[in-house]
Amino acid sequence: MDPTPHVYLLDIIMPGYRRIEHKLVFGPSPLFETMTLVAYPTRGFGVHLDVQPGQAFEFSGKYGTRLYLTAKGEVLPERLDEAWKAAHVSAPPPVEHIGVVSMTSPIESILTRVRIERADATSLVLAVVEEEREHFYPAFLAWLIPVLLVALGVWGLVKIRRARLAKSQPA
Amino acid sequence: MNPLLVSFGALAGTLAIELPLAALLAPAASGGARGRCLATALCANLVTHPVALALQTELGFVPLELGVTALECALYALVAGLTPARALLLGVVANVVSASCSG
Repeated sequence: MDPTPHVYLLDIIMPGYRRIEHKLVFGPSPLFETMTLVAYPTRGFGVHLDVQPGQAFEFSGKYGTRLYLTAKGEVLPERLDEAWKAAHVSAPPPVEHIGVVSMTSPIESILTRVRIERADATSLVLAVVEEEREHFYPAFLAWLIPVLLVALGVWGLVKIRRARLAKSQPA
Repeated sequence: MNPLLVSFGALAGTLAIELPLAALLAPAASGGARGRCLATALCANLVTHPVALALQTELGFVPLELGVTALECALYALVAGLTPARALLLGVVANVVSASCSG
């Protein structure tokens, strides 16, 4: 029932799993008045995304995501090359991306609230504030309903067997 | 889609395939055997289906289906009172057909 990452390769999801949405959202910080946080994939081709405080954004476990701190107003190249990356402080998201869960998991989506813990010329430190999970239905039903079905099945099997044995015994 | 609906849909689909097969392959001669087979198939699936859904990501498709088939064969023999050969036939045919239909 627990979310299980690393079960998808390219666009293939293993049988028994389904995709969910996992987003990050940054809380307000005075740093956003002078700096801009940019999300950029670590693998494959991608475009950079300006991270706005209070606005949830998707990040990727498949392509990886790294967050770069830039001066506000800095014009970014279309593709962030290695020289550009080396010249800016950066950090990975402070939480592992959960892109797929078990087919029977009640989880519908995940929102992780994060904050900038520390940022200076040499380092960017991010921290998780809290995680909110949206469920399709109350999580306890994920185990209660299967338990009830199994109990009903076992009860029925016992009744059927007893009835058969009683019928087969001579009066 | 809501995973509860997916789970119940999968159970309903399995029953829609396996119950008619249980009725078809049950011994016709002895009194009440067909009804017992149907009831056993229904109750056996109520047991095996939720367990299989819960374990599918841990065990994988083939080992899981083999386990489910073995358990259902045993239940057809112990509960419905079928001969081992008939229980094996019913359990294997029902599960091969339903597994083949699963997406």
